[in-house]
Formats: sequence, structure tokens, C-alpha cells
Amino acid sequence: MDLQPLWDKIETSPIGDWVASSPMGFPNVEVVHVIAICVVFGTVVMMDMRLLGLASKDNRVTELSRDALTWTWGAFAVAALSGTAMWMSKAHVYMRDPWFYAKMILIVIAGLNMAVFHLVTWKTIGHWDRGPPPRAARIAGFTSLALWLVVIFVAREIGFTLGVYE
Amino acid sequence: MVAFSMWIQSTSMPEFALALQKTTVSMFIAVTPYVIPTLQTIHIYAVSMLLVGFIMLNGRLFMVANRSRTLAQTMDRFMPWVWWCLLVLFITGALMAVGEPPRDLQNPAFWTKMGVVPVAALLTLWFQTTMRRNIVAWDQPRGGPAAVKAASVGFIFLWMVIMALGRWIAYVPT
Repeated sequence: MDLQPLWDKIETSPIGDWVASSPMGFPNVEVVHVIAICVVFGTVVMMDMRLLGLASKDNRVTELSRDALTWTWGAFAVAALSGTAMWMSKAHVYMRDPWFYAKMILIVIAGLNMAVFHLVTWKTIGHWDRGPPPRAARIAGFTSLALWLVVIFVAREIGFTLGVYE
Repeated sequence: MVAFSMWIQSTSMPEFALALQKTTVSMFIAVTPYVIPTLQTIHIYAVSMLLVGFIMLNGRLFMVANRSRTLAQTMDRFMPWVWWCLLVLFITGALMAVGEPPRDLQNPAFWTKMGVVPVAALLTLWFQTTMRRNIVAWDQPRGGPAAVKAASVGFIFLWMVIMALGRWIAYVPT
């Protein structure tokens, strides 16, 4: 199925066109995206370090989670919106770049890991809120940390490879 | 930025950048696959942790985060992050500049960033020292004094400006 007409339509939309054609458009949207991703990454790492039992060991997990995740979700929303605006400016190029697919897949896996953790392991939080996390929490923390470390690398690779697919 | 760029071109910086580009270290960083993206990635890890360190300290000053901890405990938790991350930022930033000398050393956004970073580091040191000296007085149930809160928010914006300048290095013509 040829999706090129769809990508063309997205790229010529008011947002796609502004980000692509305004000299300040793409760089400033990217600045917002990078700052938002940094906040997502930093708060996720802070939480993961606690789940791994490596930092904030005397902090309650519930308190740390409340403090960190408010920022995580807020920044994630900003990153998603700014990322979409960047994607709209050259959708057909992003859709040819395997690093872009890798980033999206890794973020979905990180989201699933978080969902499983909150739906399953979090139910027993009363037992380990102040103490060492159980193995399931450590595994979730390790998986999340590993995934987000790779997401940042893959995201940076997109910047180096987009030109190849122009 | 255009005038600044033209001024940089009139100095001996372009010659220095070209000479640096011919060194073994620079060529190794530039031609070895994944070195530059890896350095940039580590740079992003470090700036993320630094920014979140300030955000968490800020949250405690506003009493919206780390409420069960004292201000001193929150500082002990997050200020070392800030300084260690600054060291990592300095090392990775220096290696990136060595790997891509014309891109960075002839770039007005790069030099603006280099001017703002030491100011931010000195202000951070001053802020930390002043906060330590007044830690009991500033650790209030309703959060720290308004001026301290404003300064803390200012630091977050200052580091965001530095991050913006870092990203603009890729776009400002040299």
C-alpha cells in the first residue's frame, strides 16, 4: 500500500509545514522535545534506582513515585506532542528510518513494562514501601532503566540518519 | 549571532579548529562509528540527571516533593548529582568539541553556551553554599522564602537555556 499521499498530506498540513519551513520551527520544537525527554529520562532513572535498591533507599517508594511520576507524565505529554510536530514536518523520511521504528517500539515496551509493574507488583507495595524492593520490582526497574538508556541512544541516532532517507 | 559568527571567523579560531581536526584524537572520534552519538547520548544522560536534581530540590523548596525529608536531606540527595553530572558534561562536551572542531569552535551558539555554563556553575556553587548556611531558616512548613524559591526556579530555566543553546549548535551556521 502506497502511503506517500498520506505523508504528503501530513507534511503540507499547517503544523507540518510550519515546523519544516520556518527557520526557527524545527530547532525550537526539537529544543522542547529534548528538554521534555530529559525530564522523562531523569525522573524514570530516579524511580528505577529506588526499585533496584541503589538510591533513595530510606525514601518511601510511594512518595518517590508520586514526586517523580507527575513530572514523568507531564514531560512525556510534552515530548509526545513536540515529537509528533517534528515527525509531521518530514513524515515520509521518519517512516523510512529504522531507528525511528526502534525508538517507538522501545518506548512501547517501556510503557508495557511500567503497566505490568503497576498492575501486578505495585499491589504488594504495602510490604516493601520503606524496605528493599522484591525481585519483581528490581526486574521492572532494571528493564525500565535498560530500555530508557537505549531509547536515548536510538533517539540520537535518528538525528544522524534522517538525512540518509531524505 | 551573525555578527558573533563573523567575529569568530576573524580570530585565529578557524585555524586552530582545522589544526585540532588533524590530530589523532580528533580523527579517531570523528571517524570511529558511533563515538559521536555515544558521547552525545552520555551528555544527554548527564544533563537529564542534573536538570531533574534541580527540579527535585525545587520541589522540596515549594513543599510539593520530598515532603517527608528535610531540606538538608534533599540537598544531600540531589546536589552531588548536579556536580558529578557537571563533570561528565565537561568531559563529554570537551571530547565532542575535539571530535568536531569546526562545527563547535567556530559556532556562536557553542561559545554562548561556554559563556553561560561557568556562570551557571558559579551561581550553583553560591546557591548551594548560601542554602547550607541558612538551611534551618529556609526549611519552613510552607517551603523556603520567596526569593530562594525564585532563584531555584531560575536555575531550572538557566539550565534549560543552556540545553537550548546546545541543541542550537547543530543549526546555527558557522
